[in-house]
This record gives sequence, C-alpha cells and structure tokens, in this order.
Amino acid sequence: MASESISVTTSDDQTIQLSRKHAQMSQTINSMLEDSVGADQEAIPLPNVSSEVLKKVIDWCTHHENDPAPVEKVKKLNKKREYKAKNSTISDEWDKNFVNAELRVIVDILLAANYLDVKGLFELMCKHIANELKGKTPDQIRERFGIQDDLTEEDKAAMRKAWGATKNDS
Amino acid sequence: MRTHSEETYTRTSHSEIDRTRVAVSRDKVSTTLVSQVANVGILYLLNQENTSEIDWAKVSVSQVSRRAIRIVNSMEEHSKSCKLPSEHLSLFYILDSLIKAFMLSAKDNREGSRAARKKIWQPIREKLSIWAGRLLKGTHTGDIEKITKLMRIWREKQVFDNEVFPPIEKMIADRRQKREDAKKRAALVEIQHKGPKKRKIEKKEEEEEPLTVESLLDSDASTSNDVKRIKHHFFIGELPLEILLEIMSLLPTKSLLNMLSTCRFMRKLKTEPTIWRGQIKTLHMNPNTAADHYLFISRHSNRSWIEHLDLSFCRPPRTGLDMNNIIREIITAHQSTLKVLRLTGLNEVDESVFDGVNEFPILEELDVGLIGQLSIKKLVELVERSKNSLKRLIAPYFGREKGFIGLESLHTIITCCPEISYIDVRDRIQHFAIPKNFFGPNQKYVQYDKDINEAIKRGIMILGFNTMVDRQKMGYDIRMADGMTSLLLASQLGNTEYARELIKQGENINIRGPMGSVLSLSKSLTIAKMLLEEGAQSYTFEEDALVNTVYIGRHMKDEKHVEKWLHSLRYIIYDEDINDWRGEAIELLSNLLGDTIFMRKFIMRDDEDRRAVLRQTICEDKFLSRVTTDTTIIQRILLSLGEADLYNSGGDD
Repeated sequence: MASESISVTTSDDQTIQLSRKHAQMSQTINSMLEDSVGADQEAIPLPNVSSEVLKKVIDWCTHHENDPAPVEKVKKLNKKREYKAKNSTISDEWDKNFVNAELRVIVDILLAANYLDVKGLFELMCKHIANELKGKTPDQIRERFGIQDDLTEEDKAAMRKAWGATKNDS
Repeated sequence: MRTHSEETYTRTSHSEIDRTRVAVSRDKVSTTLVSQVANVGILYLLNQENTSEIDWAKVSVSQVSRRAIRIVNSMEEHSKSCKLPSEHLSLFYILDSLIKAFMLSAKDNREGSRAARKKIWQPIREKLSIWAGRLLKGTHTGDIEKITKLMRIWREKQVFDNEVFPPIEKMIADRRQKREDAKKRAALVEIQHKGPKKRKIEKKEEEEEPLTVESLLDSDASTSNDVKRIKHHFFIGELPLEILLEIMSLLPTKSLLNMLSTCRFMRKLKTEPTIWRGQIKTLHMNPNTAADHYLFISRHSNRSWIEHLDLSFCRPPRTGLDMNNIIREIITAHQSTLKVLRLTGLNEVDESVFDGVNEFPILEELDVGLIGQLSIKKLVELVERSKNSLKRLIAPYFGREKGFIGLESLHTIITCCPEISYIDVRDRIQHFAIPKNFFGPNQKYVQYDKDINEAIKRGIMILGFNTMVDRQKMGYDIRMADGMTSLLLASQLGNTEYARELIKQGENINIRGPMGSVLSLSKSLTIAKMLLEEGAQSYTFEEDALVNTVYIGRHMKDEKHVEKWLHSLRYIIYDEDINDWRGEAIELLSNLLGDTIFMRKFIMRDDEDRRAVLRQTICEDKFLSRVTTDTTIIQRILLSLGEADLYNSGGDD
C-alpha cells in the first residue's frame, strides 16, 4: 500500500513531507508519482521551488483539500464579438488573506503553482495580479511592478493614435 | 607497448567524452570544425576509412605524429580566430581526438617512435595553456565543467607532464570564483529588489568591482536564473508568456491596453501577433496554450487590426472551444485589415473557417498549404474575394481528400487577379486529370492554355507543373514551370533550343529549392553541365535546391552514382546528422562546379581535405565524367579550383 506522505526536495535542498492528498493536488507531482510506482520511495526533486514557497503552497492545499476539482467552463462565443474579460473576483476570505503578501512572494507562488500545476492556486495568483493591475494607469503599473519605461515619445504617440478608440472597462 | 594508463584512457574515458562531443557537434558553430577533424581525427591520422580496418600493430607513430603536428598547427591558427567559446571548446575535443589516436597508435615502443611521440606532445603542451586561456575567457558554466572533466581525465591518465596543468587549473578556479561572486551579487540585488534607478546608483558605487549588475546582464553569468530575473525587469521578465497571457485574459479592455502600454515588450505583444506564435511555440511546458490565446488577442479591440496573421501549426485550444470556431472568429473579425494570412499545417481544420469571409480587400498573401479539408471550389472562391490585391497564393498539398486543381481553376485564379505573381500548387496537378481531348478541338481548354501562357508572359511563377514533362511529349509548352524545371525538362527532352533561350535570358534564372526537391544529383549536374556548355556566366543555386537534391538523393538507393557520391561525402563528414552534412554537401558541389556557379559562401575545409575530396570524387569515382565526357569542362572546373593537375595525375597525398 502506498504510504500516506511523500518526500520532496526543494531547490534549497530541504526535504519536506507532504500528505499524498496534497501531493496529488499538483499534477506535476502526481505524474511523477505515477511514473515511479513500485520504485523506492526517494524524495521527489522540485528544483524550481524553494522550501519557503512550497510551505505556502502546502498551506493553500491544506485549506482547499476538500474543494471539488475545478471544472473548465466552455465559454460561448460572444455574438457581438466583443472582448469580455474573465471574472477575477476572489470570493474566499481565507484566499484574500493568503494573497495579502509582498509581490515578490506572490510571483514566486505563482511560478511554483505553474510549475507544480496546481490549477486553483495558479488561478488565484493570476486573479490577484490582475486585480492589482486593474484600474491603474501605465505609470502606476510600471511603478507597482518594477517595469522600466523604455518607450519613446513617438511610441507613445503611435499607441495613443492606434489604440485610442477602445471601450471602457467592462 | 601501450601502457596501462593509456589503455584505460582509451577504454574508459572516451565513452563519456564522445557523448559530450556528440553534444558539441550539434552546435552549429563547432560542427564544421569537429566534423572535419575531431570526428575523423583518427581515420585521417591513420589514413583509413573506418576504425575496424586499422591494424594497430602496423601503425607507425612517426606517421601519426607528422600528420598530427600539421593539425595542431592549423588548430593554433584557427584558435586565433575563434570568437565563440564553443569554438575553443571544439579545439579541446579535437585535441582529445588526437590524444586518443595517439594512444591507440602507441603500440610501437621503439626508440625512434618514442622520440616521435615526444615530438607531437611538445607543440600540444606548449599550446594547451594558451588555448585554455582563450577558452575560459567568457565561457559558460557548462563549458567550464566540460573542460574541467577533460583536464581531470588527462591528469589522471598522465597524458601530460604534471607541470602542464597547474596554470590551467588556476585559470579554471579563478573563473569559477568569479562566477560564484557574480551569482552572489546578483542574488543580493534580487533580494533587495531595487528599481532601475537604485540599480544605477549601485552601479556607480561598484565601479571598482570588475563585475557590476549591468555587466552581469551581458556576461555569461546572465544564464543564471538569478540574473535573468533582473535582466528583463521584474515581473515581465519573471513570468513566462503563457502566465502573462493568463493574467491578461482577466483584465478588462482598458486595463489591458494600459498594461500593454507600459513598455516595448508589452507593446510588441499587442502589435505583433507573430511574436505570440513564436513565443507560444517555444513553450513546451504547457502544451495547452495556443489557439484560444490567438482568439484572446484578436479580441483586444472591437476593431479589425491584425494585418499579419500566422496560425500555422498552432495547437488546439485548452478551453474546449472548437478550433474551427476560433479561427473562423479571428479571420472574420480581421478580414478587412489582413494582408498576410497563413494557415498551413492545420490538419484538423476544415474550410468552414472561411465561412465568415465576405471580402479580403487588401490581402496580399494567402497560404493554405496543408489545410486538412479545403476544396478547390473554396480556394477559388477565396481568391475571388481577394482578387484585387492577391499577389501570392500558396496552396501546395492542400485538401488532400478533395482532389486536384485543374486548368480551369488555374485559369480563374490567373485571370481574376491582376496582381498575382506567384502561385504554388505543387502536387495539386496530375497529368491524368487533363482530358484526353485537351489538345484537340476542345476550344475551352485551348483557351485556358493560351491564358496560362499569357500568364507566363506576365511573369507569374507557377510551381506545380513539374509533371509537364508528359505534356511536353504531347506538344505542350514547357514554360509552365520555373527556371529549374524548365531547364530540366529541356535537358531531358533534348530541347536544347529552349534551354539555350533560357540561358541567354541569363542573369535571372533562379534555380529554386522547391523544384530541386524532385531532382536527383545527376539531374542537377546535368543542368550545371548545360549551363557550362552554353557559356552561362552567372546562375544562382538556392541553398535548398541542393540540400533537397542531396537529401532526396540520399534515399534513392537505386541511383548508384548518387550513392557513390554520398559515400564520398561520408568519407569526409562521417556524421549522420543531416544538419551537419547539408552544408558540406553544398560546399562540395560548390567545389565541383567552381566559379561558374555562384554559391553562398561556406566555410572551406583545409586544403588537405579538399584535395582528398576532389581526388575521391573526380578522379577515383570519375563522378564528373558521368555527367560530362568533355574533358575540357572537367579541366576548366579543376582549373577554377586551382587543382588542374588532379585529373591527369590521379591525385596525390
């Protein structure tokens, strides 16, 4: 019978135990487990995730371990062919607290969620960043996210001209 | 007698070195060098064709050393001009090959042989430190590891005297230390997470340091993840494109445009859809990203804005949407601004993707090659909807299950598009598709024939009429094809008059790749012979024509002369990697045809090899003789190569 906990080794060479249930919430780890059925129980290497970030991921998995599996909704085409953004509302209070962290940490968790393929967490982090971007001017976005303004005045003028006629936020 | 250490060296170390060498040989830059010398180092040194034939007991050290010294000297020359670390690294592998060859040949332990051995070690020893120094200057982590491994093996097996190693090992240690320092510094900056302005201040403060953050970005250390984070500015450089796309799909239009207005990189995402394709293609980690993102970006604005849409080979969407629906929506929404539409390689797609198209008012290029289901009727309909602007129609192999294009359709395409100059309908035309009474009293077809000939006069290039050879026999005008095919047909049919006419037209005959793909080498050279005989001054062989010729020829086992020719290729190249020997094949043909054919420039191998090739191909196989019996031409070619004596003498060593 498979053991109830899995060992993983993080990028900073820490070995961390996580429950099989949590491990299976990550498609990446799940695939690795399936590939190594019957093999010795060696720690699974996660070279792209640090122990600090992994602990955050485990926290999230612990809170959401009983959630139903996410279902991908098929979005119907808008007859008017207008662009409509996906919903980015974060409704869970616990999640709201969870994302209340420094941008550096958020980005690390997002990358880890992407690497580990934890869909719910990945969506949560994307939503949070999208919410951070919403309603901000280009200057404010640059400041918030550390983006260097390398556009020339000509570039900006061309953009104003080309993209000027856009719809307001929906 | 071979020493124990030498024996162990040859048996144990080379499997791992060979593996590394294979990896290196894939490097485009070093391929030529490695394939020229390292991969055939032993064979060349011993003048044998394969290792199984070598009788080591008979191998003389002095024979090897004489050749080896020549190679080492040429390596030294090459080393001076090496600009990339990988080229320097190649030198080390070449050196390793030499050592291997020398170890294997070291059965002869007589006094004279020992002296000869000493002779070969001397220049290698002298140059080793210099090469190592050049190699380590600006090399990558992986290279340092490889070179360290080689050095360790050489040291363990006592290949060189011990005094050779310390200076090189010191260089390696210094380099490694610098790298570690750079990493630490980059990590520190990362933790502090400073904005660009602060980083500039820090740069000033660190002026005394040899490595600054900015210099790190340009240096080899930029391969580390830590530095990459800074390089592309925080956030944007941090996130893979697919994540950015995911975030952007959550933004309302205004915020999205604001985000796209923050920097050049983001702006590119908006203005250059091809960037998306290129980026997405490289993202292997998540294969579910593709067509739906095109849909997403196409919806950025409710106006039509895409001019250049290339959805070729894009992957199915992950959202469960139907691929046909997605592409139909994009094309429909942007039909009024599209100038280039490429939809090749979409086997799952059918012609319903064009259902929303009323008109392509400014479409100049339509590429629908390899669309799974596209009828001729639909193709002609699309052409008619873009008739005022269409210049290029590319539809080879399309609609595999929907039959072939006929002259009637071709007639429609040609006559309704005044701007059209290029029609690629390769493999869409079958000679048996033409009615038996085609050349008879059926005026309709005769009219098509006239129209198409008129089109030829308009300078339209039509690819796809390479089966016209049969029709020529029926009296059809062979000018339906491009230059290469026409020449081929002319030569095959003995229509030298037309060939001469083409040659007289002269300068603009362009022997193209696509047509070359159906030609064997002998046919290519037949053309070349004709060009020579007719006194042609300048013709262009496009690279692909020759590549394809050789590629196809390689698989045509029944064509013995091609096999022989390729056998001679292997003698030089000794590498099964197609990418390796393509260049060589072109170079060889360039050598054969000399200055009468303008070729792109390729790296020339050294004179020794070149002469060996010429000897093998021209004199021993009499290969060229099969193409032309005119010795004047052969001599002219050899003369142009400065090798006129080869033909008569049978070559020398």
